[in-house]
Amino acid sequence: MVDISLLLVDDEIEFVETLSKRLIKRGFKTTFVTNGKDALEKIRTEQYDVAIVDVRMPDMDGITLLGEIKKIKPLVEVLLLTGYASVQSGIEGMKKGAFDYIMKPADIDELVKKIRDAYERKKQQEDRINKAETRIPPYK
Amino acid sequence: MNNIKPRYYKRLRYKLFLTVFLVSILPLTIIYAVSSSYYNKAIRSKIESVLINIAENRKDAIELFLKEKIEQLSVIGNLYTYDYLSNKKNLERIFESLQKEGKDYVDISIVNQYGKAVSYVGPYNLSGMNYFNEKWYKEAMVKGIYKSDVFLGFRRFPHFIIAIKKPFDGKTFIIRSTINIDALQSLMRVAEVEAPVKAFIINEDGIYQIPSLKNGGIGQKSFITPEQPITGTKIIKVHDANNNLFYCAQSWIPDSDWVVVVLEAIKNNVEPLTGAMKVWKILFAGGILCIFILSYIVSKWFTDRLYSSDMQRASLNNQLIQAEKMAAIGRLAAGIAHEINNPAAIINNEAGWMSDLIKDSMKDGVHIDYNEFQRSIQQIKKQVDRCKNITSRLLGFSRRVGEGIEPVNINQLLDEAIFFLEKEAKHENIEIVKDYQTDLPLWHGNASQMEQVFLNIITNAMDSIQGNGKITLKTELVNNFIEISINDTGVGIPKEYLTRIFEPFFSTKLHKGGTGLGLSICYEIIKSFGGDILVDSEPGKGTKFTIKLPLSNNKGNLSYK
Repeated sequence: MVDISLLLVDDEIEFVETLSKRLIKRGFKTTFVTNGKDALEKIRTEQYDVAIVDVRMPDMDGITLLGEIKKIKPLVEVLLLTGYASVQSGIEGMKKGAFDYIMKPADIDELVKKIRDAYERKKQQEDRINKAETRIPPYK
Repeated sequence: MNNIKPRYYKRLRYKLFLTVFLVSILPLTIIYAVSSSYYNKAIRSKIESVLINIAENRKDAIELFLKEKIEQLSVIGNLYTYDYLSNKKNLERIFESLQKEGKDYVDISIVNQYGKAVSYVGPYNLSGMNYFNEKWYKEAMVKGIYKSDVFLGFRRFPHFIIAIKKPFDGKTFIIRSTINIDALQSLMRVAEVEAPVKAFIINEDGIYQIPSLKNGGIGQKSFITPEQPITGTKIIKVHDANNNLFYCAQSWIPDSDWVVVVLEAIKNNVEPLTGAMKVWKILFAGGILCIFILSYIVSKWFTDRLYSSDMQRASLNNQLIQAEKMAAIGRLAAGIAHEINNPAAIINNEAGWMSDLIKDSMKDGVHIDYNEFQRSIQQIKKQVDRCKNITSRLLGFSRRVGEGIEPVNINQLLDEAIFFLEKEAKHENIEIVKDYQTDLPLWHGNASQMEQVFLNIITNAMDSIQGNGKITLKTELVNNFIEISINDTGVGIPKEYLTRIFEPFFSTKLHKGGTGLGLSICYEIIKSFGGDILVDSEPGKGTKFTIKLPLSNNKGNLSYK
């Protein structure tokens, strides 16, 4: 199985640390950061398949971060983590290009499934891009 | 919100009653005083004129009586010669004819110029008496006519003497007559029968000549000192020995030292004349009583109405405050939900992680990393504590709806109020700056209500900030007032709204779920603590609310019941 590379972004370190361990145990290549600025740094320098982003964060909120990620690496799929009170912002995020949202506290299996779906979509997209590139006749 | 205290209404009722009563009786009292003064004056002048009339009447009668006696004796002296009169038989005849007129004459005697009684007719044998050294004789010889005071003499019946000097052949003789006072007495009695007065005669020294009944006998001194000889009649007020007050009319009998006195007791004689005044007095007292009762009823009715309407208003206010408080809690719900959700997510995560570790161990027979397990358990405990803290604060806030007065640490209260807002503020990039005076004295008031005020103003401040911003909370003690200022860098309030923001139902957020009651309730709460709230705002720059709370509060009851 291909290693799926994840970036976790959440301001609560206790949360993100353990989540990261659990995802690693499930075979994901996982990195975590606790704010938007560090997240963008990682996005620029590393290769990730899926970013899991908390909507409510100080300084830079999840929706803004989503926009920034899409600017830098449009193919990176973003999963939003929302609370009960911020479901609306999850949907808003989807309109701005997020793959899906998942409500905290999240069930790990559901999260894993969504990560795989997101990765699947990214994979398909990349495949289509590759095919499209091969179809183009060499420039004369 | 209101000082609904029975004592306050009792005092109000008392004041109202007094005001209504006094204002109402004032005109009545003035009318009463003026009219009774006029009335008394009229009565007095009537009494006086009656008394003067009686006194002058009596004076005229007495004067006439005396004149008549003097005239008659004079005529005898003119008609007959000394020699003729010296003959006792002649004198007896003349005396008989005098007696026909009345029994006033007791005796008559002819006294020669040496003071010797040459003839005498009467019940006593006074013939041959020598009067040369007698006072009356001397005065009669000098003045021509002599009238004595009334005296009892050795005969023990009251009488007086008239003596008239007559010329005769270059010599003089005196006709002397003793006159009893029955006629004079009956003349004075006439007045006493006609009116409730006492009528009598005194001489210039105040000695009774003709006494009134029971007022002392002849020769005794009366309690009246005659005024200086006057013409006409004078009226004065006098007190007797028992301090009874009398009107006293005095009239001097001309050519004598006798004064006719007519007395009327003031209290007695005012009575029959004041029948009308009695009715007026009863009317006045009845009027006062009516006004008293009406004032009582009006003031009671008014304060009762005020009390019940205040009670209604207070209960309505109470409900509004409770509703607004619940709305404030609702406003906090999102933040609180997030606050609880985060630890829940962590707990969920840790529990999942532990489960992962157990599954691994069961599958591979690997030993569980108990350190990792322990760490997770610690984390779960920590997060549970976090939840507990949040719920207890929330409960504390919603449950604290009491009305008691307690010492309150304002700084701590502000901290509690912003606890629920801090995270939300952080997520909205609003910085909350605390600039507290650390040694702020305790304020005595209701913590729950003040917390509501703070919450309300701070959430307003947060709403007003779009994008990044700052809210500064400042506390300081200024002249026995705790000043709390809440300064935001929000959109500000347009000038035309500034005067209206404390009005009930004024809101710029109606479509966003504002009730328009928040600030009006803040205002009411602060006023009920004897404090004040001021607002200063510049559109585009921000708004500053300043709350002033007095350290010593004289408003008494601050609770709404």
